[in-house]
Amino acid sequence: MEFAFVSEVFRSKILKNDLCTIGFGIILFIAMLGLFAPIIADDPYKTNLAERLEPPSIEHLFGTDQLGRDLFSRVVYGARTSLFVAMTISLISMAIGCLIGAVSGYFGGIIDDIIGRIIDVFLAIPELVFNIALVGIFCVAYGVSTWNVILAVVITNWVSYARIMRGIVLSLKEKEFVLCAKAIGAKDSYILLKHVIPNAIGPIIVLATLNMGNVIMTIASLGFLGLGIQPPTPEWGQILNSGKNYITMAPWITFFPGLFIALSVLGFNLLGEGLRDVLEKRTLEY
Amino acid sequence: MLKYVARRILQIIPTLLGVSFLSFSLLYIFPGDPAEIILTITSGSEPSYEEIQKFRAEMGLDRPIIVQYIDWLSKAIRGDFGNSWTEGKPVMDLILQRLPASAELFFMTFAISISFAMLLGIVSAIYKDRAIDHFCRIFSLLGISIPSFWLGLILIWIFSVQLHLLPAFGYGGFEHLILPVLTWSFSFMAIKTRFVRSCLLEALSQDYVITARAKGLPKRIVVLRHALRNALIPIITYFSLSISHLIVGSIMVEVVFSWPGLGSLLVESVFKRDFPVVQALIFISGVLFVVINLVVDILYAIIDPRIRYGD
Repeated sequence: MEFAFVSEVFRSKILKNDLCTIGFGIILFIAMLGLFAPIIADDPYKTNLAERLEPPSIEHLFGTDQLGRDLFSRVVYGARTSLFVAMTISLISMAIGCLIGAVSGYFGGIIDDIIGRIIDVFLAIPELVFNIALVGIFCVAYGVSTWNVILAVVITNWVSYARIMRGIVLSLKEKEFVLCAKAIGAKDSYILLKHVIPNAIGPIIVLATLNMGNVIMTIASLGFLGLGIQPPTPEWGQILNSGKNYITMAPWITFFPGLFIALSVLGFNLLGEGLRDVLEKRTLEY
Repeated sequence: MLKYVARRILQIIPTLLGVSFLSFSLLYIFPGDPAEIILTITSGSEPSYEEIQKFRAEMGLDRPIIVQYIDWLSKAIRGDFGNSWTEGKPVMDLILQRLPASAELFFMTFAISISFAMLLGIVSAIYKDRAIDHFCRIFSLLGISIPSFWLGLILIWIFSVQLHLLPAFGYGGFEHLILPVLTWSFSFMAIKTRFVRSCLLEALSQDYVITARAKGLPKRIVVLRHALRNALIPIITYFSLSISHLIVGSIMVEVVFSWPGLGSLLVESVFKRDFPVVQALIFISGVLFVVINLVVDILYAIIDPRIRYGD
């Protein structure tokens, strides 16, 4: 696909869809916050014990936390953490999942049977349960680090990509245009480049968008449990976790980070649903 | 019919073996020596070389992994997951102790959620693209986007801190149940409402619905008698599968409200590094999911012959 075509689709279809526009707007807003955090916000690590648990004011838009840190700055820098970690997880799981799914669908036979069973096993175990267990074990084995969170979530997250990719490849294998291409002696690499990728790109983009929302929620959940990205790095779930002890005195510590988690997950869900309407014309609506 | 049931049971065996192997192997992702790690966690101090050797022989940790796995599995099938590393009690006792609280929370949430999901989903599908449909769609989008732990804390702030109406956390009478059930139902029902809506819309687009309308039946009758009946098959499957959330489905809600169920047991065990409990919970929730899936499939084959011949 050429760039002109992509931008044409973007302008004529995607921005005309209300869900897409609102979702895209929300994501753009959060991404801008993260990108320009050093300009918008103060130092999120600077403690000031004289200004502990202060309510929102002109000086501190979202108030201050239990160490007197500016909550607005921590929430804005939190956008950086969440989006960066979620994107890393999504890209790694997309690469692994698409590869495994494509291999499974393309070669079929015993390879497909084995990979299919593995996918079934991962679908049977609730994702968050497995993530929590893995993070716990990685902490014991390798010490605390953000990579534990990334690794633990990737281990469960590749499955949805593999499933979709396997389905796409299986259905393409039967299609006449692929059989024709094979009959006239096209190489596998040609079929992959000209037929598989263009057909897979729509569903994969939709899945990746919706998946970003899920991953952000998972990171925040782990953070809230105290198993995610560790302080002092600002992360929304973890800020909420520290705020819950001060809910009677300082409810704002709980309120603002949660609002931003909800907003970004909503943004990705809206965009994902809109993209599904645009890219996959289906009668079945969700 | 018997052939179908036998084939389905054979099909789930590899999945069950996979689930059990994955839960078992959790302890072997450690880079170190499991005997040393277990001793360090249980005694809290650095074990000596002799202690490690003795422990390894005692626990059979010197046997090949595959032998250990078969041993673990044969005990696990009988409900024996060994002893907790920190409590000294059998893991199964700990789980059974926490099960009633989880079950209470789950079944209340389940009953409320599926009733509202059916109601909202049907209304939404009948009045597609009207104001009430948009309201239901926004409501369910919010349900999947708002983190339950945040919603829980907000409800605590409103009803416990500000209004002093309900207890903020703990386990006890009916008033302790209200906030956790409300919190969990919000997200639980959101996904189900969307599902009911899409299934019913799918059924409403079928030819028999057009025929029924064409011969002059009122819309209400067509929706309830013709479309809904057919839409019920996927809906009931989906609802039944969510019963597997009974085990550790409500981790975040239980943690927010200090609810003494299996979800908080999982999190506590991870913090205490009590991995046999974690292993057991993963194994049980995986097996439950697979078994419920099987039961639902078989029930449908009995009800609907298309399924057993079509497959």
